[in-house]
Amino acid sequence: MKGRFALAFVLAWSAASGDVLRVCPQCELRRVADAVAHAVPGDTIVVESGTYPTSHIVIDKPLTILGKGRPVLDGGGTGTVIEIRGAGAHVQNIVVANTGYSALEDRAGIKLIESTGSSISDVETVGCAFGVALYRSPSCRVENVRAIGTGAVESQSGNGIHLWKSRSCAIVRCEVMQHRDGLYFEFSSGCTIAECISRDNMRYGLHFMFSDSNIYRKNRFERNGSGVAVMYSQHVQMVSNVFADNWGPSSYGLLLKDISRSVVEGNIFRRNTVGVYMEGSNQTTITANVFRSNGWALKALGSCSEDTLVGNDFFANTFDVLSNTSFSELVCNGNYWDQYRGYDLDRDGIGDVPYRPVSVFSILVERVPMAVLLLRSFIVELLAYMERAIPSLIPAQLVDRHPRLAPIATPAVADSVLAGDPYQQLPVRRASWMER
Amino acid sequence: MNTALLLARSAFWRTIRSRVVVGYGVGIAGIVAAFSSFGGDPSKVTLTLVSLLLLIVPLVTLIIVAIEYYNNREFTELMLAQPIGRRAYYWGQWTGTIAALGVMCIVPLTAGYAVWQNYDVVLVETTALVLTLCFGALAYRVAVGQPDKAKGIGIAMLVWFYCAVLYDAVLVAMMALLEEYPLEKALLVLLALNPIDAIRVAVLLHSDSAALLGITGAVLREFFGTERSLVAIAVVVSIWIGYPLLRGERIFRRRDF
Repeated sequence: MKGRFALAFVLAWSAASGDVLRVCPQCELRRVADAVAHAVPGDTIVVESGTYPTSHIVIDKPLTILGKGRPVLDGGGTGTVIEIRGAGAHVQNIVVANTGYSALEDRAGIKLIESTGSSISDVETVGCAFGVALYRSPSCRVENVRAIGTGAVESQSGNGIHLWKSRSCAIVRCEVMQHRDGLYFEFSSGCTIAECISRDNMRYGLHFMFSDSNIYRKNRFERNGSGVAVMYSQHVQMVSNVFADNWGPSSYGLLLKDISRSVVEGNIFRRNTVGVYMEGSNQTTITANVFRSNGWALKALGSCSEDTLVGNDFFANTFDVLSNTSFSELVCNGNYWDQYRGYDLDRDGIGDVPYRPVSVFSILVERVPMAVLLLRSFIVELLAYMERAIPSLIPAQLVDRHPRLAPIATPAVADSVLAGDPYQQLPVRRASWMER
Repeated sequence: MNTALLLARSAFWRTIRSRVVVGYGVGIAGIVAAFSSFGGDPSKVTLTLVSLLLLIVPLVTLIIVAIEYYNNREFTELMLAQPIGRRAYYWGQWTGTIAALGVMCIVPLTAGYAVWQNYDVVLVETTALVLTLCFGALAYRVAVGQPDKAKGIGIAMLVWFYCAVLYDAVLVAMMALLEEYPLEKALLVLLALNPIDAIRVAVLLHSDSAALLGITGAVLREFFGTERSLVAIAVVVSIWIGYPLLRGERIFRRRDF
C-alpha cells in the first residue's frame, strides 16, 4: 500500500517535472552512479531490486532515488555510500549497507551536506558507522528509517541518526540500534523527533547539545549503555516518551545537564538506575510522568534551581528523590508517592501530612555508595521513619505539601504500568488542581 | 545412625505439637495473608516478606530452639543414661527441632503462594530455611554452653538483638563517620561477620535492587558482579551453620550432666 502510494506520487512527480531513469542489473544503467551522472534536476531514478556494489555516490542535484523491491546499495566497507549535496533530493525505499569505519572521516550510509528540504524515507542502513548523517542541512525529513549499526566498540562506531547544525528537521518513526549514540543532535534547533525507537546503543539512546526548542514526542529509549543524556539546551519539550531498562553505574533514564526552561511531561521512566538526573538545570518542569521501579526516581543536584516537580506518579522505586545538598530549590507539589504513609481526613484526595521524598539512607548512599549494601536493614528503615518524623539531615524544604493519595495517570495507564507494560503511551492530561 | 534418626523423629513431633511452634506457623501465615491479599506488586511483596522474615525468623528460632533444649533436660539425662551415643543424641535432637521449625515456615509460605501467587516463593522460602538453620545452630551453641536456662535465653535474645539491630547500627555509624576512607574490603568482611547481613545481601543480589550495586565502587562491583559472590555467601553461611554446631557438639560431648 505504502509502495503503491509512493509510486503513484513519483509518477505524478515525474510527469510534472522530469524523466524516470531505471537502474537494474540487466539494464543499460547498471550503476546508480551512472544514472545520477545522466540525470538532470527533477529526474527520478528508479532502482530495481538487487544488490549494487557502490562506492560514494554524490548526488549534487535535486533528484529522487526510489527503490523498487528494496534494492541494496553495498558500500563494501569503503566509505560513505550516498552523499547528498544541494537542496531537494529524496531517497526512498532502499537498503544501504556496509560503510566500514574510519577514524579520519564520518562514514555514513546516507550523508547530507548543506542540503535543504531533502527527505530520506523507508530506508534501512545496515552495518554503517553512521546511519543517516545531516550536516548543515535544515528543514529535512528523515522518516521510517531503520539504522542497525555495526555493534563494534564505542570508539569505532558512529551515531544512528546524526544532525549537526541542521535546523527545523523532522525525525519520525525511526528505529536505531547498535550504534554509538542512537540519535545525536548538535547545534540543531527547532527539530521534531517523534515516535522513534532507540535501543541497545553503546552509549546514549539520545544525545543532544546546544539544540534549543526541540520537541521529542512518543519515542522509546531502551537498554542503552548510558541511557539518554541531553545538555546545554533550552526550551526543550520531552513529552510522552518511554525511558526504560538503562542499568549501570553511570546510566540514566534521562540526564538533564544545563537544560533550562524545558518541559518533561507525560513520560514513563521504568527500571533505570536513575530515572531523571538533573545537574545545573533550571526552570524546568517535570510533570505528569510515571516513575516506576527505578533505583533513584529523581536525582537533583544542588546546582539546579527553580525546577518544579508536579503531578508525577512514583511507584516501587528504591529511592524517590535525592538531592546532595540540605538546601534545595526543587518545588515539589501534588505528586503521588507509593511510599507515602499519611492520611486524608477531609477526603479531598490530597494527603493532610506533607511527604518528604528524600530518605536519610539515600543521602548516606550518595555519600558512601557501598552503604547500599545495608538496604532493607531493620535499622535503616527505623532511621528513615525517625528522620521523616523529625528531619535534621534531609532537606527540610524539599517537601511535597499536597501529596496525592491516588495515582494521577489515568487508571488504565496506571494499571498497565503496574502490570508491567512500559509501552503503553501516557496521554498527557493536566489535572484541574495543577492550574491553581 | 538409626538412633539419631529415631531421636530426630521424636524431637520433630514433640516440637511441632508445641503450642508456641504452632503459633509461630500461624503468625507467618498471618503475615503472608496480610501482605499478599492487598494485591501489590510481586517484587514489593517479596521484599516486604523477606524483610520481615529477616527479623522474625532469627528471633523465634533462637528462643524456641533454646527453650526446647532446656525443657528437655530431664529427657536428655534419661536418654544419656541409656546406651545412646552423645553425638547421635545431639544431632538427632537438633535436626528434629529444626525440621519442625522449617516446616512451620515452609507450609504457610507455600500455602500463601498457592492462594495469591504474588511473591517469589523460592527466594522467600530459601531465606526462611537458611535463617532457621543458621539461628538454630547458634541457639544450640548458646544453650549447650550455658547450663542456666534464664541466662541462656537471655543470651539468645542478645544474639538476636546484636545481629538484627545493633550490628547494622554500628555499620551505619561507621560509614557515616569514616566516609573518607576506603572501607569497601572491610565492609565485605564485616557483612560476612553477621549472618543476617550475609543473607540479606544475598537476597539483594537476587532482587531488582541488585542493579543498585552498580553504583558502588570497583571492589564491590567486581565482587558482586559475578556468580562468585553467591558462592562466597553460601560458604560464609555454611560456616555460620557448621561452626556453632560443631562447637556445641564438642561442649555437649564433654559436659558432665
